[in-house]
This record gives sequence, C-alpha cells and structure tokens, in this order.
Amino acid sequence: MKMTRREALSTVGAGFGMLGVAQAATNQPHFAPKAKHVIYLFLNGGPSQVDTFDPKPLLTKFDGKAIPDEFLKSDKRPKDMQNTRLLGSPWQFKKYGQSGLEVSDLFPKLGGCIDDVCVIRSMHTDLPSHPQAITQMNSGRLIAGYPSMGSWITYGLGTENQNLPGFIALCAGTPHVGPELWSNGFLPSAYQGTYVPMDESDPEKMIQNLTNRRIGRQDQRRQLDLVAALNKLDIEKRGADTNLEGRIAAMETAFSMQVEALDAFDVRKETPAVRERYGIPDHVAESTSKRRSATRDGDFARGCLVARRLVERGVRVVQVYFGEDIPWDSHHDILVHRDLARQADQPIAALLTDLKQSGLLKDTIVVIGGEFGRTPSVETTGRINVQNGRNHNSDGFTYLVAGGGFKGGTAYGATDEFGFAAVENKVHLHDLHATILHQLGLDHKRLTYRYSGRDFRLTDVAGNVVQGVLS
Amino acid sequence: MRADLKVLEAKLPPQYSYLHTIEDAKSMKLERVRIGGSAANLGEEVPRRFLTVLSDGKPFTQGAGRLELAEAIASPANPLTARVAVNRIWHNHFGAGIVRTPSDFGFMGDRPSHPEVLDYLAARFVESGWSAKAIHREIMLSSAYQLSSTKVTANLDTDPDNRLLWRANVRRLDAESLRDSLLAVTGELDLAVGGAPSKFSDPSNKRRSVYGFVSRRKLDGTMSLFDFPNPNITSDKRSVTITPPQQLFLLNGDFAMDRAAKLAKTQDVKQLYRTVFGRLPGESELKLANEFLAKGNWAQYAQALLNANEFLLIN
Repeated sequence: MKMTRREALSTVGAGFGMLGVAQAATNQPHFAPKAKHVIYLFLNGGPSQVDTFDPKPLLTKFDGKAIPDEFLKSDKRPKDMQNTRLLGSPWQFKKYGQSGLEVSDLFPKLGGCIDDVCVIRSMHTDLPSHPQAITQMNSGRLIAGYPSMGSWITYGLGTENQNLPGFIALCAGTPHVGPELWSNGFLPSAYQGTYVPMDESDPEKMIQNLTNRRIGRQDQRRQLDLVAALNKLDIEKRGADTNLEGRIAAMETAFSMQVEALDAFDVRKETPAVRERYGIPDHVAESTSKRRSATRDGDFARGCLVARRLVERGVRVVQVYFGEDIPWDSHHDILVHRDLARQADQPIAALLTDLKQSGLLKDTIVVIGGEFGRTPSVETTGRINVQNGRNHNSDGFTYLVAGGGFKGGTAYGATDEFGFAAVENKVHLHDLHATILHQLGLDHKRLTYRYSGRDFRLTDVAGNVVQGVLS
Repeated sequence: MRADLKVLEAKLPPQYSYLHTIEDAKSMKLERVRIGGSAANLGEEVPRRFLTVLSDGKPFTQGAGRLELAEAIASPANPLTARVAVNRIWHNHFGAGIVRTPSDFGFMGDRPSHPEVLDYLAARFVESGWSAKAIHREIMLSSAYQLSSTKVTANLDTDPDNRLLWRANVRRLDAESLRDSLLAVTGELDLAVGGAPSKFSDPSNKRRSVYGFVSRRKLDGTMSLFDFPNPNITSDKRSVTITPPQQLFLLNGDFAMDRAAKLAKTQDVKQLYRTVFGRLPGESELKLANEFLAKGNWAQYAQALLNANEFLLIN
C-alpha cells in the first residue's frame, strides 16, 4: 500500500522544516496563493469594539440611559432591557487616512496605517465565555482537542525556513487556556506551535536547550561529525531509510538553528531607534521578577518585533498574544483600555509600517483581534465596584486584517445602532478562517485530516470565503 | 469546630492516592432519536442495547445498562474487542498494526494485511483469559518479529511499505522509551514498582517513565517534544516526528549531557559499545573512537554514541 502524502510527511519533521527537497515539493497549496505568512496579534480578554474601531454616536447620545424602545428590533436585543444602561465611549473618534475610516483616540498610531487595514465590524462567534471563545477563535471549536489554525496552515503549506519552527506562539506569560491554543490536536505533532516566552529578551532563555554551556561550538562540530560518521557506517550496514536520513538532516538543522534562532529572536540586534519605534524599553525588568500579571511595557511590543523578524526569515505563522491570561477583560472600568491600547497601538503601527516598507505586507496577513468584543452597555453583574466597564460580547465585534490581499482602508459589515450584535454582512469566525486559508492558497473544504474515522477541517462543516474583504 | 477541623486536616497525609469511579444509576431513561441531528426534531425512543450487528440486540434491563454494555463489549462472542486489542499490541511491537487504523475496523478503516493472524491472536487472547502478557510472548516469539531491518532490494521494489513484514520496521524510540533507555545505559534507572507519580522535569527523578506525572493542562515539554500525545483527547497511535528541537535536547539538554557524563566514567570504548548498543565495535568504529578521543574528551564521545541512530532508533 502506498503511503499518502500526508502520511509520508508525518514521518519527518515537516512542520519544522521539511527534510529534503522531495518532501518540500509535497506541501503544495491548492491554488495560487496571495499570501505566504500569517501574523496573528491576539488581544486576549476581548477588546471593546465601540471604544476602538466601531464608532456609535447614538451610544454617546444615550449614555447612562436605557435603550429607547424604537431601537434594536433584531433578535439580539439584550435580554434584560429594563436594567440595561448604555455606556458611551469616553474616547473621541477621528477620521484617518485617505479612506477616512474612523478610529478612536485609543489607537492614533494604528489610525495612521488604516488605509492598509480592512476593518471587519461584523464579526461574531458562538459563546461569550473566555475559555470556549479563545479556544474557538484558534481552532474553530468550543472545546479542547482540535488543531489550531496555525497547525492547519503549517500542515497545509509546510514552512520556508528549515532552521526555525513553522508555527511560533509568542506571549509574555501564558494566555488564558494555555498551550491548547497552539495545539496540533490530532495532527502530527510536528505541526504544533512552538511557544516562546516574551517576558525574556535573551533567546537562550526563550528557547529550551538552544545553547550548550559545556561544549564549545567547534567541539560540538567535531562531535556531530563523529555522529555523522557513525550513522554513515550504520546506513552502509542497513541500507538507506527515511528515518535514518531524517535524523541526520534534523541534527544538522539543529546545529544551524542554534545560530539562526539566537539571531531571529533577539530584538537587541535591532537598532535602538527601531526598538524605540516599537516601544521596547532599553532595560527590561530582570527576569527574576516575572510578574505574572504581565502587560509590562514592551512585552507585547517585543512580540511584534520578533514576529517581524521571524516572518522575514520565512516562518509561516506567528501568533503574538497580548499577555498573561486575559488582559483586555475590562469589566470594572473601561478606562483600563487606555493603558492596554497604549501598549498595543505603537508596536502594531510599527509592525505594519515595517512590513509595508519592506514589501512583506503583500505576502503577510496580519490579523488583529481578541476572542470577542464587549457590550455597549455597562456591566452591573457580579462583584463590580466601579460600574464603568463592559461585559463580554460574542454577537458583534471588530477584527482588523491587513496585508495578504485583504482590502485596506475598508470597513466591512456593521453592528446595530449601539454595537450589540453584527447585523450586516455578518462574518462568523469560520468565515474568517476560511478566508485566511483562501488567501494562503488553501481551500478550507479540501484541507482535511482523517481522524477517528472521518475527515476533519478547521472550519468543520461551516465557513464561507468572504469576498468582500478581499481586494 | 473550625480549629478542630484544622487539626484533623493537618493530620492527613500530604497527598493520598485516589481514583475517580462511577456508580450505575438505579433506572434507565430512554433517549429519543434526534432526526437529522436536530435536538428539536425528536423521533422514537430507542431501547438501550448493544450494536445489533454484533449481538442479538436484546434491550438492557439492569440499572442504566452500563454493566450489560461492558459485558457485551468484553463478551467472547464479540470478536471485535479482542481483534482491536491484539492489533494494538501488534502495532506497538511492529510500528504498524495488522490493521493500520487501530481505532477503525469499520468500513472507513484499513483492511487487515494478515486477517488469519489477527483472528488467531484474537482467539488466543480470549482463550488465555485476556492475558496481554500471553499475546506479547506469542508475538515476540514469532519469526516475523525477530527479523532484522536489513533491506532486500527485490522486496523493497514489490513491497516498499513492508506490509508483508519481510523485514523489521525502523522506528524511533518513543518519549518514554528514550528517557528510560538513557537512564538504563548509565545504570541509573529506578526499577521500583508502584507509588505516586514523579515529575519528568525533576532531575532527581530516575523512575521509569510509566510513573511520570502527566498534566492535562501543561504537558511536560520533553515528553511533548518526542510526540507524547495530547492527554485531552484519545490517541490510538503516536505520531512519529524527527525534529531539530529533539536534537537540541539530545545535544545541549542537561538531561542528555548528565547521562553522557555518567557514561563517560567507563573510559573503555568496547565496554561503552556493549552498554549502549549491546555489541562490540567494528574496526572502523574503533578507529573513529581513537581519532576523536585524541582531541576530544570521554563525555563528548559518550554523548556522540547516545546521539547515534543505532541508539535512538529501533532497527
């Protein structure tokens, strides 16, 4: 029986750099791709759409009031209308760029890049609860155990750089739910995301076993040559074999990776001016002080800069989580968004600017968003002492997508008058996943993997490519 | 009372072993068919019973039917359970099952390459009182199991995938076997049986990997590096990858380097070959050893042996 190409791939470290030209040729897109890389900036916790990219003048008008009865005729009216009080955004919106898209004062620098950004205002998902929503945003499923989008993409396309992982997840600390978010699920484990902590700036601390403290590089070279000679004798005795050869190739890759990764993950290799543009302070707090509440200045920024360096080196998918757990979860006081946005705005703008300047933005899909948005009404439930925040909202929120053939300077879809729910040109996360795969040359209906007796897809039995967001 | 409680709690052993278990319900509630998979479109009530293609399909009568279901699954009259079980044992010895889809013996699954062997082993399994050990013995005493991995060009041309088992499959050691083998060659492996699990990340843990602590939330990095499956889902077989980060673990990791340092105390090439490969070195291997040791040290040499394919792959 002949091995299928997927089975053949699963026997070598395909996600981590396919070994040899024969395998490299097998990870082919289904049709001509518009993009080659994905950078997914995940604002975990759920940023508020009505305070950032989805202006709602009526919300300001009725600030502090109940929803007037003539509005919200859709079925997504809040259940408890009596006690729902609208909360106007404390921030002003301004028109930016040639497109004149409105962005709030929280993201002035990103506003400057808005002509390159497609603002999808009609996103919706299935459950407004962190663990399920963050899992679903990554894998299409509400429960754990399914491959993440990054794993599906590297499974479909392989990677371009043999010396670095094909799918890398960056975060200072660990986002809510944790490693399951970049899990390969039932796909071969070569496609799992490689997590690299972003609360460090020294690659030796970021990547397990990256350097050898006992043996110098020259001695290690001699050691590897000895291993290679022993393996050669072994192959002469037994005859060639993909496993034997695969290991020899992986060993050489590991040797070069020690140099490549030291360089790729090190933002200190950038000029001080570049680091300043991203908002990375010169002196990072000592790693011993590991503040698990994260969102230290520069942590997310470092992730953005590393993401750029990785994509420049051919890494297929880079995901940057904003920080530990769920930083954007502003239940008590929406004003917390001010500091979060300050830490997000500058590096995102710097990343988009750099990618555009180098031409990489054409090949790179930059996705920006969280697991859901927030309600236009004030949060009153639970132990809320400062009633100035917003609750979870999976019925309508905003995602930003730049590059990779997405239509810049465009707002797509719309929420209702206040921003409770998507009502026009609705985009479910399955649709977003299908569209991202489409731009990478992958048909979401044909990118399948057989598990437990049937073929699985990232989009399950749903998802449509959203032509309206593509140029 | 709270103070008393505290005193009593303090007397508890720090961590006691326990098992989650279940109790059958007193009566059964019958479910109705969801027509077209819709929860709103209900069809007839369906009696609880075993699959009709594998049994007489009589409805269960005791409790919620859980015990009867278990009995039907493990019934000697049901050949499927025994076939699936022995196929998994076979899979782990050969790197591929007689049926290559271990969890799917149905229409969508693979067909057995040796149906008679599968049925023979399944029958032996039931006869022996479902003894896995008896099946291990039976398989390992077979001539098929004892073949070498040496290639025969003519066979390779007709059966490149080795479906007919004309040679042994070359396989990578799985995560647990690799860790245990590294500890075994240095004589450090703790063979004690039973007890509480120990963390893989603890350098003083020399126990067999079967006693390793597995967290569903955060799987040990090294285990996951060598394809330990996701503990949140079922896994019928390991994926086998050969990746650069695995090599970094073997080249630079403290665990591998500590084993090499320990092994290096032997300072005798022939003895090292006996320990690591279970054979004596050939002439060219002795020559390589002498050349290397003229400039390098024993620990580096021992580590090279632990990095050789012969150690990490089952031939």
